[in-house]
Amino acid sequence: MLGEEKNRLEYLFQSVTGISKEKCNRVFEKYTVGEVVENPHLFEGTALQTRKIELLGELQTSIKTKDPFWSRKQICGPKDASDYFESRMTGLDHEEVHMLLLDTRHRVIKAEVMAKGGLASAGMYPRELARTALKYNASAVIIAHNHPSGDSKPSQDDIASTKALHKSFDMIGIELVDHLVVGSNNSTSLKELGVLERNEEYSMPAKTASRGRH
Amino acid sequence: MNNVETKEVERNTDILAAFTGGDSEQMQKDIDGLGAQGLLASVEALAYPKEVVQKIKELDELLKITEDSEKK
Repeated sequence: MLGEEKNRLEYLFQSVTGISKEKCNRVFEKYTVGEVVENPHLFEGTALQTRKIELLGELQTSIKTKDPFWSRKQICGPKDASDYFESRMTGLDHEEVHMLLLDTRHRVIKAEVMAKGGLASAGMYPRELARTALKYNASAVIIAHNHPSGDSKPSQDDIASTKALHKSFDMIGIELVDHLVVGSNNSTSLKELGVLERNEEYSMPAKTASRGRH
Repeated sequence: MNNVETKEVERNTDILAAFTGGDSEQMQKDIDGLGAQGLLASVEALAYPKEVVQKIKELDELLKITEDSEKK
């Protein structure tokens, strides 16, 4: 983790829990925030401090594994997909690749951050994406990456990689439902642009994706 | 929503309200509709006081970075 990100994380931990900066600094000389959230006893704090950290971990686990919204959400069209991806990717100062893993009815099994890049690019490796999709027994996937420049217009590379990914997933029987490019306040669906076959509808009639954030 | 999910919503509401100082009733309604993740992601569009929005955004960022750093 970069020093700047580490400092930001430690600041956020301190601000959210309300535990004193001095105590946090002492602990984070030895452990990371992630380690402390996973094992609250490492913090060696008061009972109240330990409880707060346990609650953070509990919330994180609940959101990751049991959140009733995304854990059973059916992705019916580009609007649903862009709602999800824009909420997670808008405003990032570096490029990331995210993937939603879906079941046969296009309900979310899991969401994964697949790659993180520098200011301009994050790798989109078919083998890694396919391996993850197979690991979770996904029937379909939706991929998204962001353009830190804010422009959601897909590049020629984006179009070419989407076609290649479509072929790769097709060979292993997994549907690439869509690929979204997320900009600063909107996103573009490559399915809507016709890069992926237009007759491959989402599980329900598609809605418009290229629009302002709401 | 089944009993387990209802309890999960209530539990997440309690935790979020404790960390952010938000109104529990309003938070429970929002989590009912959006899920905890949906509330965290769309808090700016919801009617919470500024300081609560700020805390929720910090909490969201904290959880995201922590989760991402686990994968590295």
